[in-house]
Amino acid sequence: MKQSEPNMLRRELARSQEAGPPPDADMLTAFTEDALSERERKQLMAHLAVCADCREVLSVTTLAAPVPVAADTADVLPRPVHPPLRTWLPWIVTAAVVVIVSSAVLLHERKQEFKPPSENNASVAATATVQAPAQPDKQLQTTIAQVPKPVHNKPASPKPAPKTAERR
Amino acid sequence: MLPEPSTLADIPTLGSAVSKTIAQRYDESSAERYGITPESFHNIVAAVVFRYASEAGEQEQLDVVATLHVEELALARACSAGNETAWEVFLTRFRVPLYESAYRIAKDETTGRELADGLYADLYGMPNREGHRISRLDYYMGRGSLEGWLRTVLSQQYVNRYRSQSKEVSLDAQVEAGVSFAAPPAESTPAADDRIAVAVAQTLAELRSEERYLLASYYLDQRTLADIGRQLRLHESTVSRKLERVTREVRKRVRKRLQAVGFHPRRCDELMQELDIRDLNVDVTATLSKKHRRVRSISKDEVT
Repeated sequence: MKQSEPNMLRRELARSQEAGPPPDADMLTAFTEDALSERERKQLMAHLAVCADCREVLSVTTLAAPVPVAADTADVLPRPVHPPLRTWLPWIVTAAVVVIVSSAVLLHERKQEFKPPSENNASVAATATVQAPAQPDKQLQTTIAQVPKPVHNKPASPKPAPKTAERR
Repeated sequence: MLPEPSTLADIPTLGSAVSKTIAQRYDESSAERYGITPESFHNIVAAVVFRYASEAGEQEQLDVVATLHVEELALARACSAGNETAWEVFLTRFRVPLYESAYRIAKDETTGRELADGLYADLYGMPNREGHRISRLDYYMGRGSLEGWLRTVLSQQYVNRYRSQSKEVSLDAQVEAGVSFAAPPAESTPAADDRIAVAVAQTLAELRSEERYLLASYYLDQRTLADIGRQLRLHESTVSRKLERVTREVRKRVRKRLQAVGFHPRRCDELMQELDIRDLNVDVTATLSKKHRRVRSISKDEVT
C-alpha cells in the first residue's frame, strides 16, 4: 500500500488528458521569447501541462539557446529579496582593491613628501644648508612634527647629500 | 506530416486599423529589397493574423502585427520564393547559428551536422507532385525570432528522431547499455482505497495549468529547477518557491478531501505521510516506465 500511494500521484499527473492540437514551432518559440499574448500563453500552458512531448521539445530548445534566457531577461525577472553573497562578492572585492591601492599610493606620496630635502633634492638641500644651517624652515619643522615617527627631524646636514648621490 | 501553411486564399478581411499598421510595418521589413510588394506583404501578414488571432479582438490583432518579426518573415517568404538575395542574407545570418544550435542539441558533432543538414534541405524545399518547391520556411510565421524558430524545429526533429531510434533499439542492446528493468509501473498497481485516488485526482484537476506544468516537469520529467526556470523565464529560486507552495497546497487539499469522505484525522496524517509528493522523484520516472513497457512489448513480439 505504501508503495502504491506515491505512484498514485504520479499516475494522476501522467494520465493523458485531452491535450488538444500541438502548438506549432512559432508558438513554442514565441513562448520561450515571452512574445505571446496572455490568452495564448494560457492556452499553451494548458497544453504543456498535459503534453510530455511538447515539454520535452521546449526543454531541448531552451537548453540549446546560445545565451541562457534568464540572463537576457534579468530586467523582467523579479529580483530576489536578499541577493546572494555571490552577487555582491565581485563588487566587494573590487572596492577593497580600490581602497588598498589608493591607501598605498597616498602613503607612498606622503612618505616621499616628508623625506628630508637632502633625499628629495640634493641641490635644494645643499642650498638650504648653506643658506640657513642654524634656522631650519619653520613650516618644515611643523610638518615633520606631525609625522608619528620623527626619524628625519634632524636639521639637514651636508652628510646625506653624498648618500643620495650614491643611490643615484 | 506537416499541416498546410496558411494560403493566400484563406486571407480574411481585416479592420482598417490593422491594415494601416501592416502598411506601416512594410518599410521596416525590407520586403521591397526582396521584391515583395506592399500588397503581397499585406497578404503575408494578414495570413499570420488570421492564423493566430482570427477570433480575437482588434486590439489583440494589432498586438500580433506590432510584435511580428516582419523583417525575418519577409526574408523567409522571399527565400521560399527562391529569391537569391534573400538566400544570401539568410546564409550569412543564420547558417552558423543553425549548425551551432544543432551541435548543442545533439551534443555530438556528427549527429548535429546530420540534423542541421536535414533541416537545411527542408528549408531549401523539395518539389511536390506538381513540381512546385515547398520550403519549410513557409511555415515560419514571425511570432518569434527566425533563429529561435530554427532552434525549435531542430529540437522537434531531434526529439522525433530520438523517439524513433529508441523504438528500434533491441532488448539486448538496452541490456548491454546497462538499462535495468524495474517493477511494472503504477498503472498495474490497484489503488488501496478508491477514495484516496479520487481525492488525488480531484485535487490535481483543480490545479491551474502552470501549477500542473510545474509538478509534471519536476516530478514526471525530472527536470531541474534551473531547466524549468529557463523555460518559464523565472529564477530557479522562484521556481523552487512555487513548487513548494503547490506541493503544500496539494497535500492540504487531499487531506481535506480525505477528512470529508470519513477518514479520521490521524489516519489522514498517516496517509499524507505516505502520499508525500516529494517521494515521486525517487520512483521510476514515467519516461522510463514508458520505455520499459515498449521494450517488454517488443520482447513479447520477438518471442511470439
